[in-house]
Amino acid sequence: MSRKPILVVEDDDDIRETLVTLLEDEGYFVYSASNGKVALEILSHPSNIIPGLIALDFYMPVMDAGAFLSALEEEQKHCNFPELTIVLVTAADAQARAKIEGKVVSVLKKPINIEKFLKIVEKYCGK
Amino acid sequence: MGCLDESMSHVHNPTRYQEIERHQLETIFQQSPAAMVLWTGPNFVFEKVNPQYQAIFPGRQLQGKPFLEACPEFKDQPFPALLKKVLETGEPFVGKEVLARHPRYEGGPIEDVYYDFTYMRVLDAEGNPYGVYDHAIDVTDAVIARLNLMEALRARDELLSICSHELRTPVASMKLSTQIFRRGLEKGDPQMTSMDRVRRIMEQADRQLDKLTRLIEEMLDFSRISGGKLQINKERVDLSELISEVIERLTPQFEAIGSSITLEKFDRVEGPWDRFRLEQVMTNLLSNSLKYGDGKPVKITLKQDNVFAFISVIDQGLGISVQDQERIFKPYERAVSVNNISGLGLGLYISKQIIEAHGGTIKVESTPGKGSTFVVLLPRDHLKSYADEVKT
Repeated sequence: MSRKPILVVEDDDDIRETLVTLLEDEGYFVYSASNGKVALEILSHPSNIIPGLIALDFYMPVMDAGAFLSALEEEQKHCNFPELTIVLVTAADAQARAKIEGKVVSVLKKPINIEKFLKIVEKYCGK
Repeated sequence: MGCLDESMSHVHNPTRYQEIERHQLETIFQQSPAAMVLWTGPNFVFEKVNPQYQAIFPGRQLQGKPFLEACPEFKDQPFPALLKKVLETGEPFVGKEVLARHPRYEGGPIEDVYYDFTYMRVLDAEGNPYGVYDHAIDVTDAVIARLNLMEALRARDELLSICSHELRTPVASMKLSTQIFRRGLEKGDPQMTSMDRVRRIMEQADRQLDKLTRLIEEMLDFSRISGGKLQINKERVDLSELISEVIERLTPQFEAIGSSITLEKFDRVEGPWDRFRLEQVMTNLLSNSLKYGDGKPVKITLKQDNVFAFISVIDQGLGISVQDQERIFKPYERAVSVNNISGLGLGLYISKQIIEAHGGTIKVESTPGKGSTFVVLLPRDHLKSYADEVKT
């Protein structure tokens, strides 16, 4: 079974690059974005990229996770995007992220455990 | 015994006793720190008003007038209905921190005033409802102090939440790197533990440790300022040299985004200042111009006259709206939303405290879309040094 690509949305350059390296080492194809707006641009690309999983940071400049998920829902209403699986990867406290927890399959609290992260990736993108 | 008989005479004289009692009650009424009033009749005419009550409406004629005629501002407030209910039912009303809106002086604006008060029904000699007695204490100061305290607590909680997020981010980055490296070691994959990887991990860790150090310093400074423990250690400082050093340190970061930074200056601008603290202020102002300067060149000018040194940091970035210009110097405030945070948002607040501790000022001039100019004014203590020179 072919593996699905992953989209990493994270504003901290070091964390984003390290996650990309980790996933590429595991043989996944990875797209990366520094905020929600760039992520939307990737998803809207004519080449029709459908990631098996989006690893989404919470606080980001330009467009944060909340605004990204709302924009995604809006697009999905117009059938422009398929249903997407999202895992929240964040250092935000429970109170801050409470509003969007219902829209994601899992929440990984930073600093994340990479074994746990890779298990989720395997589940949605293939082994 | 004759003397004793005379002083005790009221005990055997009911009229005299009632007079003394009435006099005592009148004294309490007149001198009480609470506002007291007695309204009578169906229209609640002001029958007795003590000086504290009159002080609520200085200069206004209350005595002899019906409640709403004397105080028309209460027409749409709950008090007329409450008075009516107390008079009809005899059930007292006790209000805690009840908002009343009225002017503090004749012709003044309507203000929010909070009262603890009691309405009690008064009966006449035949036991019929006669009027309502009010005993009120203005608790506005206490209510406002508590509201401010609650706001401060809310802001502190928000800061704690931001601190916890900001501290976790660099830790998360380093933890991620070490986990991946260990995984590489366990797998025995030479590519995953190559020198190139090691160098990258080291560089990342170094950057993240710098970030952590800055955050911790910022938190400690905030705590020092809040506790009034910000110390200024004055020494002879040449601002021209100090700013040049900060510029040199930050130039690579400006070049990395294709921007530049220049200094127009006097040769020497000296004064009795805290070198470390002013370096901190300049680093903060220049980092901000790097962040919000839209990648366009940043200019610093340094001037002096006999009394002051003037530093201007001029960027051509996004600018700051008028309403945000004051906010940005307050703790926990930033012109951008909390979800766009980077750092604790305390930089300008700390800078302002440092400059003010030197007896100086810091302000911003900005037109949105055209950039911002931060102007720092520092006293050179010329008069003092002049006096010292005269003495010697």
